[in-house]
Amino acid sequence: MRPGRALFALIIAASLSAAPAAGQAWRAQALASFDEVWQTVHDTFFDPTFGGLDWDAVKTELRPKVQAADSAETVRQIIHDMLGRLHQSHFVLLSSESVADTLPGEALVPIEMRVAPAGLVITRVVPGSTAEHSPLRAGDVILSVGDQLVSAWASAAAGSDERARNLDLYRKAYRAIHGDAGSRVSLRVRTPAGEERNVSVTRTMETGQVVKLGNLPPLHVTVDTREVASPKGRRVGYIGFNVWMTTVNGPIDAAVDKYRQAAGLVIDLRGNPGGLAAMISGLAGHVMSEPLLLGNMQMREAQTFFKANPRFSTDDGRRVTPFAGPVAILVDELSASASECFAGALQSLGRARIFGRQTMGQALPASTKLLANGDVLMYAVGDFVTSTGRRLEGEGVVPDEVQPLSIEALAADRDLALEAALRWIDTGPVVGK
Amino acid sequence: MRHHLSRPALRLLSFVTGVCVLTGVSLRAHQAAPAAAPLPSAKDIVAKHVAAIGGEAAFKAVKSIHAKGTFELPAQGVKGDLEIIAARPNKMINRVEISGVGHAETGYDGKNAWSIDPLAGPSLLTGRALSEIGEDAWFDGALHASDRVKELTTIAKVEFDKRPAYQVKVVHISGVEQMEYYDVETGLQIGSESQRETPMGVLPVKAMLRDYTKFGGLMQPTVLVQSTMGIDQVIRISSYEYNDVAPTAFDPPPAIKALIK
Repeated sequence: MRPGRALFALIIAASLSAAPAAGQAWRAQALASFDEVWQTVHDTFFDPTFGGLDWDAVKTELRPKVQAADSAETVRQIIHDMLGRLHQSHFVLLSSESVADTLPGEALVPIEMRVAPAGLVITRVVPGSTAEHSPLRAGDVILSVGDQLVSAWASAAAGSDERARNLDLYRKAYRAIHGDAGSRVSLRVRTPAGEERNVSVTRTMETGQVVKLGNLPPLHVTVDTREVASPKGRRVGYIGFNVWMTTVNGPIDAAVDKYRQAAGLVIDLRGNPGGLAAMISGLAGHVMSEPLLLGNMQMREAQTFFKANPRFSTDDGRRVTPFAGPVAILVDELSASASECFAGALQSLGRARIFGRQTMGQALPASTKLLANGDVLMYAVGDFVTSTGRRLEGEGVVPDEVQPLSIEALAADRDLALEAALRWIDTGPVVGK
Repeated sequence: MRHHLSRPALRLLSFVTGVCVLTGVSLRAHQAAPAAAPLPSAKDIVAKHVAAIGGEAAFKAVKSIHAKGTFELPAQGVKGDLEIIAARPNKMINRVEISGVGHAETGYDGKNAWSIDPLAGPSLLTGRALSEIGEDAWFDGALHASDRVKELTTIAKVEFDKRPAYQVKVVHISGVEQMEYYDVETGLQIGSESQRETPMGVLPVKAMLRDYTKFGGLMQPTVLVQSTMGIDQVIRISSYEYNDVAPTAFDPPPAIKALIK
């Protein structure tokens, strides 16, 4: 599935709308925003010890710097620094004005990418797009975007471990492929055969239904449901979606209904960065007939629970039973948050088998808050653990069957994770029609 | 009828990536004012409230209510349209159309309680949740009649929502209990506190009723702020209409009918 803007919005940052403050008004707003961010974390951080960090001392150190700052952008960097000291995901300042945080345009080169040992790899060229009519192909390794070298991004990538550095590199690449609709950019790529070439491609608007929810920037939501055949020719339902927003519910409900008697169900969460986490209860209820605990969220002073909501009826009033066959979930390094909670929960319960690559490990439930300067604070409000007590933050979900990213397979138009899932479904009893 | 927000709206407190926009800030204990005078009886406090909203006769002349307004999670920028219908003796539906999320509904037809949740799907409410919505839906709930309430006790004179208020403990025969707060000056109920069964477990809920306005012969709150562990949901009611709700309005939706055995 395409991670698209949803990833940028939910995990990294995004374009918001806010009018810049005139004159020196920015200073008071920036200071108020700093105080609000600090206070919010102070009041809500799920670990009362702040992981050993002296949060009061952080304020004592940084607030004078905010007061002495020469621009709103400098204050944002101070706030970024403050949030970074927590060393937890989902503490992000989303700004409409920060050049570093906003995309340079709403259009993008219609490809998907992942960071692999071989480099920045094109994993999909959007069918029917301008890129499909170019020489770009899945399996190509991107060497540069315009005048920006991928090797330079890799050398400068920030992060305490390889996964974090790869994500930083991905962010830079994702930003670089963006621009104005109709603009062209040259990508230098190396093909699987080792040939290097320059490809000029036109940026196009992202597809999908545009959804605006609260303080979040508009998200382009896509859902893909279809029937696939297992190697033994069994009928398998496939459901993939790029973000957990409720507009996917209709197509998913219909697909589950259509494939209720199929030999298996594949849920593709690759590139899905999360969204409305409570939706995991609804989707789990499509494949679980008991309201079992999926996980709980530990907050400062309370604990809340996620349980499956077994789906025994359809919107049109038919009594049904949840899908009872084997469930395979596909994940990768860009699967995060709600996607990890869902995959980790069903893995812990033994209800699904996970295929693909280790997830992002950014699984903290979060909320947003509009700040005085028009920026939005995304902040984690709890720590999610599965029903077996497994914490997903940091580690993420490790697939039961790992399929490393293969340039050769991409070039051959093969999907190794999906193939493995279908082979596994074939090992089960024949239950489908 | 008591004013409580729909369960799906409570679940929307589970927001971005996750969940609960719950902040972990527990409800503060109310500081009781020094006792200067004997506290009025809870029965008298309730009677003053009933008189303040228009009197028992005017209240009982209303057979059904149709209220419209808006719903908002201000800090999160989430907004929607809200509709509440209620009818004697104990029917109620609470609908919210939330922008970017969809249709959420909590209902009770006098026997069955349900939730249409755009995040988690349809479900029948059982157990404690069923008892709570049953009390919420009781049209004459504001009267605290003895056939519904087994304990009604004035606890203290406190400050609630920045107003001097009498704190009254209400224990229903069903077992559902809550603290209610009545404005010392106006007599109007200005809020409540309770532990509510939500889709994510039992959570403390504080409700504040503000800006009473006269609609027809009755004073009605036009602003309801419901706070769950530090996060505010704001309902603004723009209209109350009486006695125009059709009996079929409380029929469960198809997805719920299929769940009722």
